[in-house]
Amino acid sequence: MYDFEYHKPTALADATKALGGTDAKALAGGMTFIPVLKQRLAQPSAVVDLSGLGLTGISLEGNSLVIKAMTTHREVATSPVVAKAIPALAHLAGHIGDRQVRYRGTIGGSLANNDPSACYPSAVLALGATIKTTKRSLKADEFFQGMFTTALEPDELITEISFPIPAKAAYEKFPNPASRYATVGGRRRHVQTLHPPRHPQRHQLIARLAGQPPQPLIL
Amino acid sequence: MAHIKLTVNGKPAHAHVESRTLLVELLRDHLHLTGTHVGCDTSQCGACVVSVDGKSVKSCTMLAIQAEGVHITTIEGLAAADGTLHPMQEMFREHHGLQCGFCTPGMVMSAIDLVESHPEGLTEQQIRDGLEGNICRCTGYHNIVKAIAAAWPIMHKKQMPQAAE
Ligand SMILES: Cc1cc2nc3c(=O)[nH]c(=O)nc-3n(C[C@H](O)[C@H](O)[C@H](O)COP(=O)(O)OP(=O)(O)OC[C@H]3O[C@@H](n4cnc5c(N)ncnc54)[C@H](O)[C@@H]3O)c2cc1C
Ligand code: FES
Ligand code: FES
Repeated sequence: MYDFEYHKPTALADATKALGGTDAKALAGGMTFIPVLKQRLAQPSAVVDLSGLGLTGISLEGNSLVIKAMTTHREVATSPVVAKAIPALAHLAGHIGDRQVRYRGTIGGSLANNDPSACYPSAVLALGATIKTTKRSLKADEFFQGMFTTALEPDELITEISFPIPAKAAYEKFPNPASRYATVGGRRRHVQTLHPPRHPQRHQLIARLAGQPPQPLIL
Repeated sequence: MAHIKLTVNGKPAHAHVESRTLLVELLRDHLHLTGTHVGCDTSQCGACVVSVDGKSVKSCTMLAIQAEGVHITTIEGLAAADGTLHPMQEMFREHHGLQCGFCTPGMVMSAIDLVESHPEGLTEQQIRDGLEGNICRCTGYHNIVKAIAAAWPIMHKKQMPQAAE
């Protein structure tokens, strides 16, 4: 791994300032970024650790579930608030990677990374969530711009994600047998748009959804 | 170089580390605790799992500098001073939960976290799911699962609840 300067700011303004320098990168749970550094696929001059910013927490605001960027997969998976508001999201978070990945990996890191095989991006898109950053609020459709690409500027940080609470939602993951990442980043807004079942797993999926009214569903 | 202080296996420890030093490098190269292994480059194998403030963490995927002030337990810190093994180590021995032993330190550390965080009991499926982040090339996992199920009643000092079996 190439060496870098390490910063751990305690104020958001200091974090974005540090990221404004040349080639500085944010570090959240490190579950994607540290392997990237180890393989020398990135050579940042500075790494800005976001763990001192108090960016964790889950709350209900009106009819929305708000999750701060540094909230871990484990916290989302085990939160009674999430379990009540959007159980599918708790289920999704509880099936990301493994136990150790869930202890450290964060929702903000997952969205900023926008890996096509990651779990959270489909939920954010299908539930029509809003991503709040240090500069603006973005709808999911504006935020995701393609594989590993988002609307984020180099000195812009995700601060929280706001999910409108749906009547019903479900997430089904077909994990890759080796990596445990999702095989496809699939999602459907309406049950009717599903093609006739060919795959046995898809068959089960349709059986699970049968009889549900046509409203947003994450598959 | 940064100077960091932390607690390792109940004792104060300190080291001068570079920003890029990984926690596993701090443990193995600086503190000479070589029981924690490195089995991959991709954060997938779990040979490097240690306990950080009570949570099982892949020490190859955390910077040493992030460990300032934390409490770490490694495989070396589990047995009692007189050599009595931790119940999880004892059950791995009893049930032959290892062959070459390379994955074992990480398996044991993950398994302890799994058992401790499930006081309500663990099903076989939950044990298998809980080991998702630990890869073993030798055993086929079956005896590891048996060892963990056998350690649960000893660690919780009660019978495994019927409903959880
Ligand atoms: C073995 C393994 C299995 C995994 N399996 C899955 C899986 O099944 N499904 C899945 O979805 N994911 C999986 N992951 C990825 C995991 O979910 C990561 O947590 C996630 O991709 C990145 O989150 P992080 O907090 O670790 O971010 P980091 O790795 O720290 O950062 C990732 C990127 O996001 C940037 N970033 C981080 N936080 C912010 C922020 N607040 N604002 C702006 N930019 C930010 C960083 O600069 C970096 O470029 C797996 C990872 C591993 C190692
Ligand atoms: S060495 Fe393989 S996960 Fe850490
Ligand atoms: S005992 Fe050899 S890798 Fe697990």
